[in-house]
Amino acid sequence: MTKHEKTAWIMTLGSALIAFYLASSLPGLLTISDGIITSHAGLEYVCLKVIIISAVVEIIAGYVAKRNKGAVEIDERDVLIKYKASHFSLLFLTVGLVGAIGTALVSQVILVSALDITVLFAVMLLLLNAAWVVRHGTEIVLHRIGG
Amino acid sequence: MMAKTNITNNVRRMRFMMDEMTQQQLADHVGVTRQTIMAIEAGRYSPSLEVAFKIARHFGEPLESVFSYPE
Repeated sequence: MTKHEKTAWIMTLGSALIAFYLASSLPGLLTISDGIITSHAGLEYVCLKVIIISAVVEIIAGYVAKRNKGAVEIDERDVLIKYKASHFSLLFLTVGLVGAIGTALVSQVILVSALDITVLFAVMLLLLNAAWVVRHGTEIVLHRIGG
Repeated sequence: MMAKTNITNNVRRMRFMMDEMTQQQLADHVGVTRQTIMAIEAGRYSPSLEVAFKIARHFGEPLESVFSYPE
């Protein structure tokens, strides 16, 4: 296993855990009343925790990459895999963002007339983490099957 | 997602002809990872011209003896 694949595994598992934590925390911290979605005070702390844990996961992945210094740091196939995975995750993120905004717009007509900025931020964090899972998961798949 | 390439190669055969050279040894000489050599041998990855020339030069063979593109 190359160090890039090891890093991809750490980032995939870390991001998946963070996304799961955020997704499971989110419903309990939201209130919908009179067509307005509001968040409890705890949501800011959850967002802050997610940012700190994300930074820790990045640091661990960086440490693993540095620790496994081999003869070849990165070759053309690794670069190609990173490019393809980034492209795919960007596509996922774009669809996710458009979907989230579309849902908010439709909800405004049907049910929700206003969204809390913290809720938007938390949803953005969730989407980013999901895109990170897709990106690094794609890297693992491409490392395994060819690329 | 990853289609097999049409480019065929004799890298594995040539490695064994060179005193059973390991994939890691070839990778170190060429400047790529062992996984890249594995992918090239399995026909799952087409190397760049630069890497293809490096591999052929390492075996002391012309490029078309190592890599070929069928009609």
